[in-house]
Amino acid sequence: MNAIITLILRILLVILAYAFIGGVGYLIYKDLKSTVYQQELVAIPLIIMQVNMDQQTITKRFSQPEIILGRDPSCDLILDNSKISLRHSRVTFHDKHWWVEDLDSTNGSFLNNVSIDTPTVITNGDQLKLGHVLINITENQT
Amino acid sequence: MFHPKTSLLSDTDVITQEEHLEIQDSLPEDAFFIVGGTTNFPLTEPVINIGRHSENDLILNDPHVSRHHAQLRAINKRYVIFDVGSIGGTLINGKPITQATLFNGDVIRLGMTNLIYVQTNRSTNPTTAIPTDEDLLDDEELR
Repeated sequence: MNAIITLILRILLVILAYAFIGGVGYLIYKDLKSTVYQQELVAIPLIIMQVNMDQQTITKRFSQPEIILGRDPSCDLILDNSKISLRHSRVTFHDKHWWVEDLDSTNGSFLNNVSIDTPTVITNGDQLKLGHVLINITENQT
Repeated sequence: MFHPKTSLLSDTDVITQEEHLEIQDSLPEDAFFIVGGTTNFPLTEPVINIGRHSENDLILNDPHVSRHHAQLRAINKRYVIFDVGSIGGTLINGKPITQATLFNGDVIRLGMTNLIYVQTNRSTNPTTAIPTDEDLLDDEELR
């Protein structure tokens, strides 16, 4: 009887030891991940959008990692034009670049007059076209 | 999740196809990659994704290549390559880059794979100097 209890206690000890090692590993992983995320947050370069809509030009600057463009008032860049979808396209910063993707908009999004079918890297001097709205992109390279 | 207030905002007006006629062709003509020194990969799309994942347009079966490694874009009749956060990095003629315009003969290294960029059409870049005899010879060798 005593031997069985000892065996169970030993097994428990081994399990506890492995759980501890696993826990430490997980904490280290989480810490590393959050540091990388923070570094990415700091490294977001400014993006300047020159919006040309109805013969008017508006310049907007963004430094957040996600910008939603559309007609809905909840969008980050509101384009109040009947040919723009409520949520038309999304501009995000990840993997060292600014990207643009179409959010299944009615009239599509165009980059330098080429339809955007896949998330696409945008660079200095690019021109976005949503509906009849033209947006000139300037990136602040740091 | 996002729920648009459809009762407040009207539907989007549709632009008919005819209005999109001004699409210009920014693709370089006759551009292709020599992949690993053996196979040719013609570049015919305005956006080309490169990586190990099966979603990519150019799939490289190399364990040193990231799943999403690089993206090519045609801008003003030139292809521009962007490194999209790969672990191994992207090297053009030995130099690590995050963004670079490709010229004829450039060697792109992704992981352990070499891609040679070939763009034979000279008229696409009017600013280049008149090709010398040597350049023409180089071109013939490449063909």
